[in-house]
Amino acid sequence: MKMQRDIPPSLDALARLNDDLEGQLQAQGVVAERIGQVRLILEELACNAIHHGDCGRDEAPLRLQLRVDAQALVLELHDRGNAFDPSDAPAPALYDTLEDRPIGGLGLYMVQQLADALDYRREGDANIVRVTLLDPYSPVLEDLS
Amino acid sequence: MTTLSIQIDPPQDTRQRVLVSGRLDTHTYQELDDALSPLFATPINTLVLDLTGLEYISSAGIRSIFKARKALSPRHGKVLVTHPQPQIRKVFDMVKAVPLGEIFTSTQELDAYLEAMQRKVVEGEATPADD
Repeated sequence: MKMQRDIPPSLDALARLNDDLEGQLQAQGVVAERIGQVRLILEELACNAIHHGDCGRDEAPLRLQLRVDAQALVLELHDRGNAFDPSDAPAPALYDTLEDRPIGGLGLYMVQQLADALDYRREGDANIVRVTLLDPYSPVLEDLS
Repeated sequence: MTTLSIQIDPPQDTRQRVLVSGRLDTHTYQELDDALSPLFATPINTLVLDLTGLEYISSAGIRSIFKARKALSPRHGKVLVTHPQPQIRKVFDMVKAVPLGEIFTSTQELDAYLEAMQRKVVEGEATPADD
């Protein structure tokens, strides 16, 4: 399966895209846990680009490219915001006291943790973030049992 | 559809149970913030979030839970989480959203914890003050 979508840099468009993507991945037989992870990764990356990357300033679209086969699900997000490599995002202070911990800064950390590979490149005025999830048709929550 | 459903039960003394279902994400977290905010103006010190029906949470939802924990902290209150689905539990564990001892997979576990808390309060009240 391959898909490509361009959306305006807005949260409403992101919600529609994620719902569309979820339906397509369900139809492909991708396991539910993986679909949830894809939703999370796309939400976190896109929200970061919209809120912090200033990619909405010229209404340049966000582009999602996704392909799935038995080995891997590969998601690429292109945005025209400020140059930013999400793999460089600082680790949150997970073990600080409640009073000392900030309430945010967790989204990109979650992406880093979920991704089997997280790659970034800058091409012209675009950030291109590639996330790879291996074995998209295999259950992923065994470690909780 | 990215939707959230919130049900606020009647308070029991200083404890309040809130059922959160659906998706708690960047599109819906404000609904939870708005629903919880008035509760912090009441004397509650234990907020029980029943997540049986919660299917998805992102960092925006985690922020809402953090806000609730921080709102109750000055009064030595707690946010307790019950019945999270495995994928929600995994996100909580990943970002240490709530201490492990404050997440419960069964009503019996939660009740035992609340009874122990209650006993501590009663024993604390029964202990004579030093001065």
